[in-house]
Amino acid sequence: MDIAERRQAALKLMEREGVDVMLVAPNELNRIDTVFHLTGYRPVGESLCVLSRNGQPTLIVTPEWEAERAEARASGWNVRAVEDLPRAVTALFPNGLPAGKTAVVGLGKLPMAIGKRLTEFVGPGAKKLDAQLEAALVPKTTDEIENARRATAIGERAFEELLKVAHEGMPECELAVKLKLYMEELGADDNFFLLTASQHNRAVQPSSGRPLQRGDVILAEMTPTYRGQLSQICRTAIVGPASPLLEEKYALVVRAMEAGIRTIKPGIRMSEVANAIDEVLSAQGYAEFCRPPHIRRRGHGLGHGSNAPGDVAPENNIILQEDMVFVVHPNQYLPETGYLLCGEPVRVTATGVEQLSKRTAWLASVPV
Amino acid sequence: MRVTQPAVLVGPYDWDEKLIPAGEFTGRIKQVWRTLDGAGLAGLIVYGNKMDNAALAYLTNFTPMIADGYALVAPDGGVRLHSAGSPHMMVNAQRLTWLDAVKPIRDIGKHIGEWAEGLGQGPLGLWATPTMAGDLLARIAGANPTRPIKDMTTALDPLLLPKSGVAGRVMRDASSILAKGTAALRQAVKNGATAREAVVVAEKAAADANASDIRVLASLSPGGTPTAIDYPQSGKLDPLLVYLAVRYGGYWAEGALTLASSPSDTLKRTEAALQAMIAKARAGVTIADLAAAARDKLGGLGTHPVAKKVVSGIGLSLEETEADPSGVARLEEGRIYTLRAGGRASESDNALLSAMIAPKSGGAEILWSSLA
Repeated sequence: MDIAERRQAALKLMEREGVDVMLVAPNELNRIDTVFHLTGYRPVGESLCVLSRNGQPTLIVTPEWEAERAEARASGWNVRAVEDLPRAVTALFPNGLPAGKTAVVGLGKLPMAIGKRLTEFVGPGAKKLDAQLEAALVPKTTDEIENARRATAIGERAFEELLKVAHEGMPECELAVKLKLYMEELGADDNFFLLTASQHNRAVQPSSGRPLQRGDVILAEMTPTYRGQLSQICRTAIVGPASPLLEEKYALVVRAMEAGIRTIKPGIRMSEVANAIDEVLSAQGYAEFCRPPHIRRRGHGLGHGSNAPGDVAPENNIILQEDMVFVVHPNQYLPETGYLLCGEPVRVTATGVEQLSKRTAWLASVPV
Repeated sequence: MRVTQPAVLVGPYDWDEKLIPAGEFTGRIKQVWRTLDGAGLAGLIVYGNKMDNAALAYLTNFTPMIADGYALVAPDGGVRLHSAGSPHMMVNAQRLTWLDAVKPIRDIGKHIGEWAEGLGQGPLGLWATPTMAGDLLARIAGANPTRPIKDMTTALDPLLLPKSGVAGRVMRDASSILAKGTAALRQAVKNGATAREAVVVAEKAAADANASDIRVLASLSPGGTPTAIDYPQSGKLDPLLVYLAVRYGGYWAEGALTLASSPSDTLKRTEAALQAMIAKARAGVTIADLAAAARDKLGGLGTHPVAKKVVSGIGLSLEETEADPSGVARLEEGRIYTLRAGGRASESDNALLSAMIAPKSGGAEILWSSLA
């Protein structure tokens, strides 16, 4: 699939739903940017896609000075760079939107002042097609898959760098900033990067100023984006030597992850991946730690444009298809060791699974 | 200026008591209630997210690093803070504020309802950011049908504009960090770095100086308008236009640079325009006067779209919201502003420059300038 085919998939959805015009807005707060997913352009300001069954697709971006990049990225779209988004939409439809034939996606996620003006213009009768559009645009494009591979490689190199630069006494946020900039040097354009450390972690969190201490377990979700495509590897390192108990428990979590990854192929349900992970851990007496509040999911979709195919979780019954990309991460809390991270990004192939990372998670150690 | 928003904030955001003491925040909360006196509110909801959190940071020092946060402020000054994230993630969230206990958000409508049960009669006020999503507000209102929510943002935003002694000091520190970043950037370009390499050098310099956040926009093509660096770039751009913003202690400093091996006529005139604005800047001067001074020096050049707004307030937001929707009317003592000059001869012949100033009666203190 390429991004033009993705746009065609959106137009087919409109046809199925009997709508002539669809307005699509991003959800920036939750990092699900459907505008980016449809156009390849990641907005700086508020933006909106206007898809019409009878006309050229239009991308409206703000501010006015974003024209150059929007035109360079959004191939096949008629770009309008403006200061006032709602005014630009109303100018496109001087006679109003087609009654009963208009759909919207994500309007409620727009900043309230803009969203209110647009909602008033659209009127109460528009169909909301958020879930339908997400489902129609699931597989990654060939470019996105390649970008996910590049992003994964950046994450792996960053973890190697972590093992070189981390040291006792270094504030965890200083380490996180260094690694974030290192990933940027390698080509990452954004990063959902969480790094935290403690003697007994209960969760991975945004970094704080807490200095690393001997015996700390460093948890790192390296999640760089390359050309807007996220990938993620989840890694764990101990400051100083690891105890045999920690080694044993980490090996268990990796085994559970590998069991999950082995199940992946087109046609199975996502829930089966999560269940395979839980089975390994439950067999070792950790069944109660395979449920909330200890764990809610065993991975998730990867992308700024879409979180499809959703969480690796027992309640997600989506059927896996070729070219879905997601991360499998048991990320398990164990009472003896605390929270441990291991996770690998994968692509569903025609017959099975491709792990995008070259090296599977191992319990690493930062020398002291 | 609009900037790209990262997926998650990474940097030193912990509350530093030496930088902004708790008393500064409690004083601000009292000021808020003095401003709301007579509004008949039972309590105030203050909203912020990772993109825009000026009001939240003003009262709590809290910057949401992943998604959003709410301060629920009672008239007696008590504050309950809710942050996105699981209960176990509150350990690090707690470090971001002077307040005692940060609670996770499960269902914010319900949390607000429970909190409001302990308050007196009357509606709840809302102090929001422009980036609060419409459906979020609808959800909160829907969960609390017996408590009307009154948007007090317009009444409260002016509190963010004057800078206290503490805030002014932090902004001067932020400006020094900006200066380190831009000096490193200039040197890297001089040494032959590509745009991307130079930007990373600048970010590293700002990070080493303890910036909690750094945002950069740069030209995609020689002389092009600065924008997000979303693709790898290998070439050297001459001229290169860069916008750099750094955050420290919650406060922003920003600057625009035009770096050219051989300054064009456009750049020279834009420098003269910025110089003219700085020379004229003082408390009480109108923005129309500043704009006229810049236009005069730009001669027949067009104004770059980024510099159409020649002045904006800066502080806990990169661009502060003014009482007048058309923007700053005149410079005021006690505030900090960005002055922008931008000349445009063609799509590829642009120059953008800026300065951060604190106007006083006899002139302006320059906190940072691209002319330096």
